[in-house]
Amino acid sequence: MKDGDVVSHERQDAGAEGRLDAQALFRAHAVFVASFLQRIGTPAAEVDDLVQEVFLVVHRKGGYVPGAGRPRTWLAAIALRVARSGRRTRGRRREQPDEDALLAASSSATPDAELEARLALSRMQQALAGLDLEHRAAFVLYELDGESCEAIASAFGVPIGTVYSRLHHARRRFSSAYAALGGEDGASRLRPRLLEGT
Amino acid sequence: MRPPPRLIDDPSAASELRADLERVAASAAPYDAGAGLLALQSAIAATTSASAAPRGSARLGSSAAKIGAASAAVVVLAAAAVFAWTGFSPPAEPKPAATAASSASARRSAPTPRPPPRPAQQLPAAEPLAPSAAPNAVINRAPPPDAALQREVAQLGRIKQLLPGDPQQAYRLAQAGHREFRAGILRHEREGLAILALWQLERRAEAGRRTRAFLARYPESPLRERLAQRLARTGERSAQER
Repeated sequence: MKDGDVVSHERQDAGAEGRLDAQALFRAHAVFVASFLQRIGTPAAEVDDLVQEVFLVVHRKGGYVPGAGRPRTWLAAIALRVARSGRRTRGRRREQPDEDALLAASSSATPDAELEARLALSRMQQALAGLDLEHRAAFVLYELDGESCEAIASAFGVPIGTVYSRLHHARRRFSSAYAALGGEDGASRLRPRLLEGT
Repeated sequence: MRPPPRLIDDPSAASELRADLERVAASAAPYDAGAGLLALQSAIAATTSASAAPRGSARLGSSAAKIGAASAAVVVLAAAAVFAWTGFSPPAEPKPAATAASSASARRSAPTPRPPPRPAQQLPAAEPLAPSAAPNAVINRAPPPDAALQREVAQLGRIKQLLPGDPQQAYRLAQAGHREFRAGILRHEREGLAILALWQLERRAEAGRRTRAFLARYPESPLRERLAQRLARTGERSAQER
């Protein structure tokens, strides 16, 4: 993929203190980046490679320097650009919830909890599928990762009002799409297929 | 303008929706961070080698990177076996990844049974990447698998084996491992075993201190619950004694 549009953002000061290199960031945040990519709808088969791509971009950028948002939101901003580039490359052929992700997702302790988490992820991905990536990212970071609007705005380089606007739009679309799924009916449709793979 | 309430906390949102958000927020993608880190290190080393190589040797540098990646894969396979044996989350899909693209093609060409979901894990503190060898020094023969990592994996298995019956020796071995493998990737697991040994040895003050540090540093560790319970029990006992 072309990474010029990714790398050209936010060139960092190579001499700054407090810098975290790509490997340090990977150790601390690789699982977060993988989860973020999965939640915004990246097909499971592509998550591993996109995580690698994200941290290679981080390496090329010289690591994280305090000031460009928090490390997690900064990484999410890079992951979003990497995911968007990947989508442009492969086209938008997979906008449905990813059943590979359903089968692979979750670190829940028990089989029942694990299944519920998979179904919840599926429903969330379906409800987010109608949103563009920027709105999905704002929604996931704010609603699921508990990031503040200020941190999101800083990392994505947009005014905080834009974050509020994206959140408002995303929540409205998400809630409406979620209601249209039919709650438990949606789960019932998916459950047999999930059980086949477990 | 104020931020909206989070849907998870918003009583006006549908309860099913809030429950789903809670479930998703509490789960993590089953990402194999150990294998991913090795792949990243290989890719960075390949990048460094390629950029340092003189013109005309780029192709050789790429070959060297592939050889290095293959070695890493061998070590990851060994690590997977010991992880599974020791009960830690196994890196189940080792990736011979000199680049992101090659890791993808490797997985696609060699389908494997889907691993069970694993707890998310965090890795030890950053260590500097060893300087890359000059490409021409590598291409004449395949480098051996990472002998240090093999030793580290074997030692972790030994610590795990010793822990139930000889916590003193398990602790000594873990401490020796910390000294020997300063740049190792299994520090997190080794430190967890060292702390469990300390608890068994009734060295409560040190065990408590290191447990708190461990929980803060590795909040998603598979050992988190076990250590937190141990710490809580000790706190209760201390309160009763007072």
